[in-house]
Amino acid sequence: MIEALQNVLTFQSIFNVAWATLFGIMIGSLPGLTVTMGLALMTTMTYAMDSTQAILVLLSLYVGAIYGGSRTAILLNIPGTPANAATALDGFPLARSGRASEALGLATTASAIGGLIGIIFLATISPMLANIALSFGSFEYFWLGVFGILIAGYMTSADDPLKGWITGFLGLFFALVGQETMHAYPRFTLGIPELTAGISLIPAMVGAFGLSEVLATMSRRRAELAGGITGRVVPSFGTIWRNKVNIVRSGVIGTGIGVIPGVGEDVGAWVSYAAARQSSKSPDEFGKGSTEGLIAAETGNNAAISGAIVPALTLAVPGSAPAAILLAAMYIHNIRPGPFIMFENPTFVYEVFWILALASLAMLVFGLLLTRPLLMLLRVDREYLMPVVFILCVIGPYALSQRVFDIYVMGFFGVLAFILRQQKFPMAPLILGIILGDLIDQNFRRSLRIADGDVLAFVERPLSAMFALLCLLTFLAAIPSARRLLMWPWRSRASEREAPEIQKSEPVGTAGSREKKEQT
Amino acid sequence: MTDQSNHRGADRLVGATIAGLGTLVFIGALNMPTFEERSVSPWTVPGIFPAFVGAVLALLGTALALRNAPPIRTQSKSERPQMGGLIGMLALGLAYIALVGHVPFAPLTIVFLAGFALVFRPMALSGQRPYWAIAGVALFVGLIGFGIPTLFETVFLVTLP
Repeated sequence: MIEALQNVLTFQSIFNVAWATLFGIMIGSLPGLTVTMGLALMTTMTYAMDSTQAILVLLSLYVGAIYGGSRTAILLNIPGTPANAATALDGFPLARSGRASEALGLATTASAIGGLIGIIFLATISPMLANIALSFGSFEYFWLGVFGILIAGYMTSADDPLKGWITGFLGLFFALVGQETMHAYPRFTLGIPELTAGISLIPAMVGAFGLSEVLATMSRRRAELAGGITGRVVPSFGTIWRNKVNIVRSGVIGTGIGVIPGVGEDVGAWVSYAAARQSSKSPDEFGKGSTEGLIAAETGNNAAISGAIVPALTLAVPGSAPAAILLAAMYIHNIRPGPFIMFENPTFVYEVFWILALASLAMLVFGLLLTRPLLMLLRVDREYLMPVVFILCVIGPYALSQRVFDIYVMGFFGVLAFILRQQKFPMAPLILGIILGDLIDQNFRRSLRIADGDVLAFVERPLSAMFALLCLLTFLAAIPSARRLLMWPWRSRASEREAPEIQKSEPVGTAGSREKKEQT
Repeated sequence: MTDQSNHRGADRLVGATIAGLGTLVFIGALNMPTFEERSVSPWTVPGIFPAFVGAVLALLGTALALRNAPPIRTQSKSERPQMGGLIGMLALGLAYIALVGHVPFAPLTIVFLAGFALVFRPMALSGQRPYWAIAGVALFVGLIGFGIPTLFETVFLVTLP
């Protein structure tokens, strides 16, 4: 831990953290530039760096961009990244009512604290998870991959999980394209020689998150700023202290959601927001400018960053779409994530903790000091910004492989993702499917060979049985009647608790009830 | 046509396409070799997992095509995509992608940027004082058109197509 700190606390590292975090804030702040797109493009620019500095730049950009998205969410009502969608619900009404400075200050502080809570969990969970993962065999890896697809599909498209699962399995199909590893047989290559090497992750991700976003931005109407920034940006200690429970709860929820494969920061923010609303004394204010809601959303999404890095480091399974890029970048820079990382490269894991801590600190400083200058970014015309982003989307995948074919792959995934996004299909499961395809395929076939085709062997080991049960529960949770059945014990207990309270409450029309109504 | 019926129609179309793709993947997987001559274990043949993925895709696509779509929130006018902007961006973008590798990168990028300005800033370029607008766009096109290729070739040492 101390050695890792010494490695990170160099002038070069601090300089790189500073500019990369600031650059990330700018990327997040610009509507149309998402964190995944920024990371994918930045990965192509880190080839010449040494591995620690490259990952440091990418992590700092990740932290900065997730936070930067709150600027546009608060001032334009457009989430800069999908992770800031819940922030816009209360941030924009606050800005419209002349409290933009307060909203920006609270979002900055909550993001920094959320990031720190996530780092504490990352430091404690990662070694434990890596230890557990050492006992994983083919059966467990197969179920883990399937569980990742199912839970990512369910949670990124909670209103319509079917669409999430379709994109997940579509991703698995794309992962099958190319020469398979066991017998070197080329699958679904359609006679195109370039497809023999398979579909690379970076072009697919730049297309799915970059080009599709350019198309979406250019087909949208312009947004207008909610108002200028006047007054104090740094929030009072009292406001933060009053929200201590909300902050800790949102931090824990955000980290927990982040750990789930493929789910990511946006779901972390939404679940934290929902939990804050449920336990709030004034739930009616949520959506109308509640500081509690704003704090919960921003704490949750920044805490999820560390959470998403946990499985990426210890299982080589990304917790979110940006973490998938990080995973790809680690392989590019000769870092092998997975259960053995705590034995092979423990210093790197602790370096990640310190880099995240430094990036959170840089984010806090830049966020509070540069609020007004950063506002100028929101005035950049999309007609100037989008062609530049488009050109970077074209160069980025090419720079990685020097293959023009990868530009076509990027174009294909960009148009496909745009069409699917218009129909409310989530993109994160698609990318997770591409990443996990090879892992699931190999472990599925290996398991079948070990079990000699006996399907029951897939649920005989305790850990594989647990994952299989989780898959089944995720599937059942998407079916309304099955979900009601699953939730029945909790619902009946809740109704038992509520019943005496109803009896004790005062009759409608009394002075007490009128007072309560007025307070509400 | 309401948003809900449009949505249901689009879901049916996408569902049918996915079901068709799943069926093709399944059939393709069944036709993959089993390598019996190499005494390969039948449980590791290349088509076994694609068959599973194809079958699941076909099932999920069929479910999407046949189900009653859940109600959706009606989009406001400002939320609906503007077809003009979308078609302009698609046409320019796809032409650029198709020509990369066949035309030198820097000139192609300059033509793309100029085309982008003509498509998306026609009002500014034909306004009351067009000279300033044209000069601004020309400066932008020149800076980006030469700047990005130079940056990648000299700083990141990437040979562009």
